[in-house]
Amino acid sequence: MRATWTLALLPLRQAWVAALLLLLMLVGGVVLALAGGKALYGGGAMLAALALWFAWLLAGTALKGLARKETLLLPEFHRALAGAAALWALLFWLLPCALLTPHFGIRIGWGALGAGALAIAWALLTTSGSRSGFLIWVLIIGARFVPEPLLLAIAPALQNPLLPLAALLLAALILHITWQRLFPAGDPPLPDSPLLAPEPMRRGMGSATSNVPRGKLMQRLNGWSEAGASALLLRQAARYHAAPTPAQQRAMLRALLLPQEQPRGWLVRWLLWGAAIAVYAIAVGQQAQIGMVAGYAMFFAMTGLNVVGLGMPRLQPSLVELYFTLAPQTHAGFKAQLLDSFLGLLPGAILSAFVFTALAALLIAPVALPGIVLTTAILAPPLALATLALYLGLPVNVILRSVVTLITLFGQMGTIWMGYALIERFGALWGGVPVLVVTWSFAIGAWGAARAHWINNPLSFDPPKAKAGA
Amino acid sequence: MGIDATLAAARETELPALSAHALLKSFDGREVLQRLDWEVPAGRVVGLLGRNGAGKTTLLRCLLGLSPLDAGNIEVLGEPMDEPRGQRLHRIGYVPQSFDLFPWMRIGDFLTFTAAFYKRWDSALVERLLGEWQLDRKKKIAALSQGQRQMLAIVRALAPDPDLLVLDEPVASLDPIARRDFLATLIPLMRRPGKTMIFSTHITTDLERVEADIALLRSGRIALQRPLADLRAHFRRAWLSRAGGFSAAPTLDGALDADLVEARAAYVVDLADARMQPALQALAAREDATLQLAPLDLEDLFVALA
Repeated sequence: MRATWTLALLPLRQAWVAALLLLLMLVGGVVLALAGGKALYGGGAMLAALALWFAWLLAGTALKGLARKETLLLPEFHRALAGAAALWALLFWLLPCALLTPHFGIRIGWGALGAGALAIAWALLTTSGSRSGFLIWVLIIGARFVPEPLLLAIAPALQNPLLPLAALLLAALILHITWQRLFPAGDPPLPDSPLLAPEPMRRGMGSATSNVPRGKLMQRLNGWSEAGASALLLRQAARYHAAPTPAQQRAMLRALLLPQEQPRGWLVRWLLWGAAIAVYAIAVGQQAQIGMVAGYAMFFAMTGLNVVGLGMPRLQPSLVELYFTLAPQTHAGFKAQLLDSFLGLLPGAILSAFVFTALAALLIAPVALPGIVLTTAILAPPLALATLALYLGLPVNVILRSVVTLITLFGQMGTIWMGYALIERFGALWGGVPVLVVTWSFAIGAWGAARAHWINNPLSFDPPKAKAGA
Repeated sequence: MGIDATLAAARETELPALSAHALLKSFDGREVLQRLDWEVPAGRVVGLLGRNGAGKTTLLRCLLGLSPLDAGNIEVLGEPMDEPRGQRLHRIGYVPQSFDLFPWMRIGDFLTFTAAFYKRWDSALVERLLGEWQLDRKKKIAALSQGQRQMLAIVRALAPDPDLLVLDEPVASLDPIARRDFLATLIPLMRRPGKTMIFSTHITTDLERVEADIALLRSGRIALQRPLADLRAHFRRAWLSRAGGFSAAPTLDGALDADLVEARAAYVVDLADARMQPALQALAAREDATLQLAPLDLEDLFVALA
């Protein structure tokens, strides 16, 4: 029983700050629903439902952390996990559905049971690192394009009392797939570079191997990109051997640490993200302002820079090897060499911004293409440098990291939209020049501060949480 | 080789390869290195012994500048180790305890990348070792077993023909055949003028096989450093037995260890200490006991002293 409780409480212990916030959200939702009268009943229920769904995301993240074959060797692990799952299901699924029933009737309660099961399955699938979890967004976007007659035809089916049963069955299937994904029968995939910019969809999903594509097409694309990276590394090595200049050394270091930052890697990224942006652009169509969509596109182009913050701790054990290979004069020089190699991420991010924004413009408003390209040319380079600087300066503390990451993300979005709005409103000269001055000033300042912080701080060669001496 | 170069090499072999003075290093309030002094003469093969958690890895990492010291001074290859100082690092080979390097790379790419940085790189040796140890250049490092990764780390460390080779439990993941191969390859390469090797290990038979000097790390200090031949010649287990047996081992000044085994008193003694033999005989006479001296192998010595 102790193992069951340990597993049940694991998601809350691992992310206690988030759990506390979710509890507040849940209580807030319930209070709104009960005390806010009919006007706020729906809103309160939605807030509570959202809190519950986020709680399942925490549970999924904790489960992902346990997903290794050794865990299955723990005595009675399956039974303990089933007990913990039953406890969670009772508290965060069945009980809320049961509480809904007296107020809304059995039909809504029954429907909530089915919808809740699907939402839970979706949360667990998403946190397992599966890209399939994101299909829901395609479905949501796709739902906007369902023709009216088809909607009228579907409507009676949506009223069918057996629909929640179908939802339950679908949820069971998704959970089965999630389990297979978390505990696959075969060998685990091999890791990529910790600094390999993954498609942002797969970003930050836990294990060192989560960046590895599993589909056959993705494996082929990845293999093709890797071959390009390998060829580039060999070329750079030959050049450095022939003429060992500092510039050539930096190029070689970039080829080693950032293997995806070469034409093939960019093409793979553009293909994946281009498809997602195209779907989004087509979905929102003419209804959205091109500035807004291009802003999103540029935002996506910048997300790859986050790999510096995510990958550096995982790269630390390999730094010993680099230290001996590069044979720097000083520790500070070594850190500066590493830091400057990260600038190699910028061309990919800036080029991606051009590709994605141009694609969005071509799909939504082709006449706006020149303006969008100009705006991207003004905004993308300083924004990429500033974003890289902010990710480099991420603090070690997990909570602070999350706060800084959130501020960076919101700052990016704000800058992009503000920049687009100013250039659109005042033109390239009167709108663009001030944006150029402000963004570059901030970017250079942020980069300088991040560089100084990085170089002045002691460099650890130890992997995270393994600093004790043997 | 010109006269100047010969003189320089000769001067270098006179200098210690490594010299550490009053090293202090703590983790979470626990002093792992306690004012440790250590000097490793150039041209020696030194086996660093110590119990789990004694601080062997910490010591080696501090010596190479990979872990900051709380206090103390280190000189490596004649220069202070306060900074890496460029090309000096290329004269050092290091095989860490756990080999985590660049798991996303293929063996061939990794070696090509590394070789490009070195002026001295023995490609023939690399090819020979890759062949002998069946390491496929096209294989990803992440796909290698722990033992194969260790072999690759060893290949990489040997290729630049280092003057100082530091190996942190280099054979821990190797099978006995690979271990023998490794030592058979390594020792001729490092038993050359000006070459120094330090390796930490728990496998004392390997140290005996390579006739290494033994350095014992205990309680945060180097408690003992002697050539193996010297240990063999002078270290003995002394047994005292008598009819009624002993209830406790009588005190013997200068004994390195004292114990009671099946009612017999057992001591580890260093006969290089001229006072030891007479002291033993006097103790045997006083206790009315028979004295027997038995040779000690390195493992027994490690168990007794570590």
